[in-house]
Amino acid sequence: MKQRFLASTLNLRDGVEVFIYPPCEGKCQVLFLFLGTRRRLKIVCRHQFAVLLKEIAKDQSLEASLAQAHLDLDDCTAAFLNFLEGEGIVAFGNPIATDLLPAAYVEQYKRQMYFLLDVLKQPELAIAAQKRIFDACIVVLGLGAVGSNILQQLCMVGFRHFTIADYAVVEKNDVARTPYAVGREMGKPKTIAAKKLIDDLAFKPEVQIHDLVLTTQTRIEPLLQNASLIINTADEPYVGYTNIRLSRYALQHNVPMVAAGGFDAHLASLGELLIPHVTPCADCYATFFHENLKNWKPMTHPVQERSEWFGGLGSLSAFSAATAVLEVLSYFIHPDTPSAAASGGRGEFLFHDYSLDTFSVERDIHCPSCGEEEQ
Amino acid sequence: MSKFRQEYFRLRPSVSLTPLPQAGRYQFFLSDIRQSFDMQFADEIYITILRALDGSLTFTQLVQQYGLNDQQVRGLNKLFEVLCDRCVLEDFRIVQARANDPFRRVKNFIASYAPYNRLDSAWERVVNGHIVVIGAGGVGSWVVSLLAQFGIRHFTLLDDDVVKPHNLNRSVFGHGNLGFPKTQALAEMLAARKNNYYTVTSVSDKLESPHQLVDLLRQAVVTPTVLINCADYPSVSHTSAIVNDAAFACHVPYIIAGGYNMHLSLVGPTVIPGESPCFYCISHAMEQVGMDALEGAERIVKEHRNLGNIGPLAAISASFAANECLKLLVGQPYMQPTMLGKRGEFNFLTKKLTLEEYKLWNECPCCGRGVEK
Repeated sequence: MKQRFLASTLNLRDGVEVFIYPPCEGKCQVLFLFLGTRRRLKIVCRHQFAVLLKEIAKDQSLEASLAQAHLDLDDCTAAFLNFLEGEGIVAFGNPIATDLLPAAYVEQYKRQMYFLLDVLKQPELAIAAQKRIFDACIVVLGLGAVGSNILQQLCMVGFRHFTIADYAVVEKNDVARTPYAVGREMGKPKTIAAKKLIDDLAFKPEVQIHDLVLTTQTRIEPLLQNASLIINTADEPYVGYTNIRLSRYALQHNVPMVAAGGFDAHLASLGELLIPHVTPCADCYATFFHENLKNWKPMTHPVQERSEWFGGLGSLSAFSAATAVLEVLSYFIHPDTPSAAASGGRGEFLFHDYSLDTFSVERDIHCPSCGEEEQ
Repeated sequence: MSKFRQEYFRLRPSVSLTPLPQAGRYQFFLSDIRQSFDMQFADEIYITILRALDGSLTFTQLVQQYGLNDQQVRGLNKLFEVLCDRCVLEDFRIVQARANDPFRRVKNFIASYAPYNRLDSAWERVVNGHIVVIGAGGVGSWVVSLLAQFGIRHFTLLDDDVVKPHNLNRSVFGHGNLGFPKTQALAEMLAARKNNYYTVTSVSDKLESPHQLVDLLRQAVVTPTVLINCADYPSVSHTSAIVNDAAFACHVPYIIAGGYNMHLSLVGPTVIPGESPCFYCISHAMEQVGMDALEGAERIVKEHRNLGNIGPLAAISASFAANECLKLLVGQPYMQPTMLGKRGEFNFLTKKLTLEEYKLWNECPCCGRGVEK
């Protein structure tokens, strides 16, 4: 055990700041600030251990650090080092070195892997999370304002296998809310523009494209058969319909799904992560809204063709997409404890004061789709 | 007779009209911005008119069609005045020109804040804004991308770095940009989005001093309207102090974007020189708080750190900076920047933004004079 410490270099992790308070009666308070997560941890330890922390921050061997702190590697010191390692404060050697992922991929995503290390504390957990991302296949349905932004950010976090579907072509107004090269791609299917985006951003991507609209007649099985996770942003013919149809498939096949926001009155809505048998499903959400909005009945609007007259901002689409991708990332970080990744509910970010209007949604035990499992 | 005689008013398509339980009471819900207000109606004729208000009839024709008496005409005139001011009604003849505008979604959104007859002047301020973005990395590249999506045309970009593989995890750059200056990559990205629309001045320099930035601002062909600091080298405090001094010298508002290394979840303040707390006011207040918590503590710092970051947090930070920029450009009385005298932390687990408020510091070297004690 002790030899393990001496066999490799021991480093203070880059993502941790250490504040050492003046010693008092041979002991020191030490505050650890984890920069990525803003987590704070305060301990009281022997003054010599505080000196050891200062020495570990230097570019030198552990033996040299121990000597400077006048410490031997006894059981007490080993326990202190184990504590530092367990909390993600120190790491042996290069914490993200791995044979599980290509070196060029690690180079592209190393900053994210450092972030994962901040969250997960242990290098092997951070590497395993990134490996799950590397291997996963994400299905994205709908490649408009939020779908294209989600796709862009999924590439940024390291996903590389995609199945994408949309029926529309790139139009000039897509310049206002998508990252597509609209000047070059105008008139082409959005699937083609999205594939080019993926090719430019992701690491050696593999992409399947489907030019189709989701109707009651659409066979969705070929689209979804390899899905590790489904993301729905398709709001044609109606987002409530597409969410329910996909959610029922996801339940049957035990695949998580994100019902993304970003449309009409939900321009900066947070994505809802639907984990089969853990969170509410799309049917639960539909029942919830039906019940809670039953007394809110807007009059028929006098303008019949309204869809082109709703507002939208690229910044709100990017925000909505980012929160959806954070949900996805959270799911891949916590595969064994899916409840840690999601809880039922919806949030609506408000542009005027940046507040978040949230409410929670519980699983419906009478839900026709997921309630039977509960019973 | 009404001043609205020739207007073809319609209920804005993104506004819902909903009866409430109390008799005669109705809610107007502006769905784009999720804001609503209620009104009480003594005469149901007005609801009858609103329910059919599709922009096909002038005010005069409405009066005739519904056979309104003098009192009802005066009431309808007043109602339309209020509803125009609250962005519920619009003249269809004026807004229909927007139908083929590539930025119509943005205009429709702003139209929930600015009445239809004042939207064009607000839009002119947006489209002709000249935004100076200092730092074109993880957050800066996102900021430029989002501002261009608003329709803003003029940019000056200051950055001395080239695109590297490890930048791709949180900036908008792609593999095709590797090895090229970041400012050049962004200029090419904007050109690919809309030909001959954007003007980009690329400056491949590091931000060194306020004088350098002042010279740059004064040489600009189009007067700069907003500065956005996205540079964190050697530290965000260092670059923000420079931007602050230049902004005061040129009387230009600025935004400290946030999302930097070590401050991934920070949402920085918006500063209007002379009107809201500046960088020094906020730093001073933060030092007072920080000194209490860390007084006497020795900070252990490693050199050459590789800190963690993720793309979605860069996008979120940039979205706040972009929103603030839009609010500055559209301006009062329609939009007030939210981050004036504020600094926020975005919690990526709860998705909530916690804001801290700051006041003008009466000994501030920039804006201290004249501040009431």
